[in-house]
Amino acid sequence: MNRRNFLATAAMAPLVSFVPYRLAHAAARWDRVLLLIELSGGNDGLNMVVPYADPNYAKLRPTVGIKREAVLQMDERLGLAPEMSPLMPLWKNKELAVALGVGYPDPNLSHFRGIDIWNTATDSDESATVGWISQIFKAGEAPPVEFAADGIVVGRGSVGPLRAPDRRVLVLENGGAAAMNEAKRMVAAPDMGGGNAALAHVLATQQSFKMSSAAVLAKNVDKVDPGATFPAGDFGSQLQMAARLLVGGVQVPVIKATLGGFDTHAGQPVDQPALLAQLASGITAFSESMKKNGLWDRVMVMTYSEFGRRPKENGSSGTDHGTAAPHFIAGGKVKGGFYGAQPSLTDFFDGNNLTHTTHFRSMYATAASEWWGISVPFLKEKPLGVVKA
Amino acid sequence: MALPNPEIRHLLARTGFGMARPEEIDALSGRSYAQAVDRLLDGVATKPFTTPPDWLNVPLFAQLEANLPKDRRDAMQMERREDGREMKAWWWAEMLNTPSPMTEHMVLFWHNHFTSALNKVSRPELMYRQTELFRTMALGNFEKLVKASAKDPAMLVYLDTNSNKAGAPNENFARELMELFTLGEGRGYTEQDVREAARAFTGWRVVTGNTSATGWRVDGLQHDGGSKKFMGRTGRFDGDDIIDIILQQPQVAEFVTEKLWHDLVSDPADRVEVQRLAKAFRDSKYELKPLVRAVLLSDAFRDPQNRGSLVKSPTDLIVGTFRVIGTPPANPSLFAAAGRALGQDLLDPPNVKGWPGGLSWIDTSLLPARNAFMNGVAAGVEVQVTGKQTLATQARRDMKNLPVQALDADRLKKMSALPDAEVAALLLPVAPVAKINGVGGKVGALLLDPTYNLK
Repeated sequence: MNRRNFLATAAMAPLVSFVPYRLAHAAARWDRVLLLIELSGGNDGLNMVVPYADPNYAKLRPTVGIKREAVLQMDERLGLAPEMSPLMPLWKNKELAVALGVGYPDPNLSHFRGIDIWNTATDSDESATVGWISQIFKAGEAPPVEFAADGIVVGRGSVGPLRAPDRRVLVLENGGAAAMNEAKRMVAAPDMGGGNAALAHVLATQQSFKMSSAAVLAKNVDKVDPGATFPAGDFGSQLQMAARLLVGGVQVPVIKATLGGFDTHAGQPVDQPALLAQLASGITAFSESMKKNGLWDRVMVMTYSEFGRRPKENGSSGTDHGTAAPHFIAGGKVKGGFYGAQPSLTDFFDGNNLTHTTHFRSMYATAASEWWGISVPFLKEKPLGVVKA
Repeated sequence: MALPNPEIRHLLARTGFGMARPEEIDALSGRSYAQAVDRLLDGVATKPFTTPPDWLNVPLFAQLEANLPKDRRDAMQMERREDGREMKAWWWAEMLNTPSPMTEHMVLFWHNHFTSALNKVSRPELMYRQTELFRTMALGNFEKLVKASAKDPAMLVYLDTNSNKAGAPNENFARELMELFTLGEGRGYTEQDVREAARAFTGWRVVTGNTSATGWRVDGLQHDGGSKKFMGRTGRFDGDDIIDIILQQPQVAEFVTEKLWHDLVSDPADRVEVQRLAKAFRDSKYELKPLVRAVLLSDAFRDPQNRGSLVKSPTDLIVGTFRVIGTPPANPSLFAAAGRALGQDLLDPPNVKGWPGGLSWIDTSLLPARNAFMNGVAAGVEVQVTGKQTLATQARRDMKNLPVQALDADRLKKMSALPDAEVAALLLPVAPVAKINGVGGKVGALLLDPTYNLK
């Protein structure tokens, strides 16, 4: 339909013409929460979702490879590392999606630059400072002001995807006691006007921090029983905190947790399985807590990492920095299964590294448009289509 | 003691670390403002005051390292990490102790412009050499500074020039040279220009195994000596030629002037003033000292409304505070740790763009650490003024393990005895906006006032 015809039709049927307008302004689904899990250090995807049926896998990894008989088969080609058995019920129940070969063109193999690209959703030759979540909230719709915060970081990890000077982001390490104490003793002076923009910013940030903290404090989250047992250790505590926040009724659209130690240049057969076990049991405990409290349909868990690792093992029982890797998306509204194509183990883009098959921004587009229902032009890639209607 | 001269205080706060010692303010007071500016600029040192770590002048082992047995290589990496921490601590000590804070202010300005990061460069001696370059040339000539930065070993590693070779050019440095160092993003260059410029820098290498003056050489076999088309010109350009052509573009002077304006005067900048100053900067063939002088003498800089209109960086907050009410640090690595906790890990900027700065120094995620730190300082002030030791543990915890002894008891006792207005005029850029009754008496109240975050 050309523009003239459209206008004519619209004039004849004024009510119909309002439909696209209403759709475009449909309220974002702020009852939905995204739990981001950063796998810091560059997770080796080939030893997490193992292409066990590909003979090249064993050839590339005589030492660090996972034996075919140990793999937990997901289909006839791919299977989970054995330490991830806690995740198998979610997979079988079709609540776990795996995006395959996630990466981007012209990949950067530096930890710092790599995570920067993932945090800011830029092309690899661009630099930005505002995190991708904050870009979504800025370009689309911002979370309601009555929410406790725009995002909460549990643990010591970076603010990363939430970084922005004007967003309400709380960092709650070790259950958040330090931040809460700070909020209690901070004297937030009212803005009487007459000051400059810098002073107004300081006062507004103080107010915002105090209000966010008060909203969390009011829910007494440290007293909340999440209804599931979380694995011991820092990562388990982070996810337990995330569960307590949500079960306690703290309104927030994004929670970010971090599991570090994935830079397995050496000793990978010892180190990575231990991390994957934490990841799997943590996600599973979180899902149990959510299910018990009727929240599983309202949360989506998503993993990311600065890069995957080199298909060919190195000489010290490890793998070096690489490119594409699989990532998890889980939740009650998630359509389980594989998304995208498993990268080839022979056709490397630079002779050494996996060619990405899924752009990482597709995962972000999934969060923005499929999950929250926010339209954001800067995410050019199509969403994966993992969210149930 | 009378009220500190507010205009001199402003001058020193903006060119140093957010505030100034009373004796520094007094030393420049009592003459015309223009004379004070000249005296300040003439006194900017080009050498560090604090003795650098003694491991700095060892030969560079990069090439040999790969041939070493693994345990020796691991030991070397451990040592290097330790040296890196020492290097950071040394710079914090220098900023806290130097009689020429403007020198270190400018070193930090250039560190945030021609960025490199220890986490990628990994060799602290190269990062030290880079700060030395900035120290020597901080207020020198911008053209020389660009050319020297392009050859600086840390930069050669950080932006991959060191692996840029004929036939397989790496565009990293060429792109940032235009986007971040000279022209500004997308201003007056094309992707084709980036590709051609990258060819001109092929073969530029770090000299390893000795301590040559520049640490730079051209590997003729890796250098692409062919003809390049760059910004509408054609020739067998090398890297210096490319920089010459870039510096003929008028927007370079504007770009650099605007960045200096953001650092020294206000954000956003006054466009008309920036253009006026940029023209003079270009006419002077990029002399930095006259440019900075003109900025400091501008009406906008001197306007009393301009005071307290910039947010202090974490470095300003920590260094400024401890220069004014602290003692020379016994363990400067604790200051580096505090900077990291508050959001500024010096020598490890977040990315090649450096710290975005300005209002972004304070957000809801960074504010608690900043506030906790200042609460710790206020508690430390209470301990040092009243001798009430019960607060010492809390002070130390909140000050990121800095002991209360890092605060100067004598200075604080004298300050606490001064009239309120005098202390406020020394510690704050504008009148306080909150009435805080906490620890540390009147000094503590001012340290926790929201305006203490401003300069």
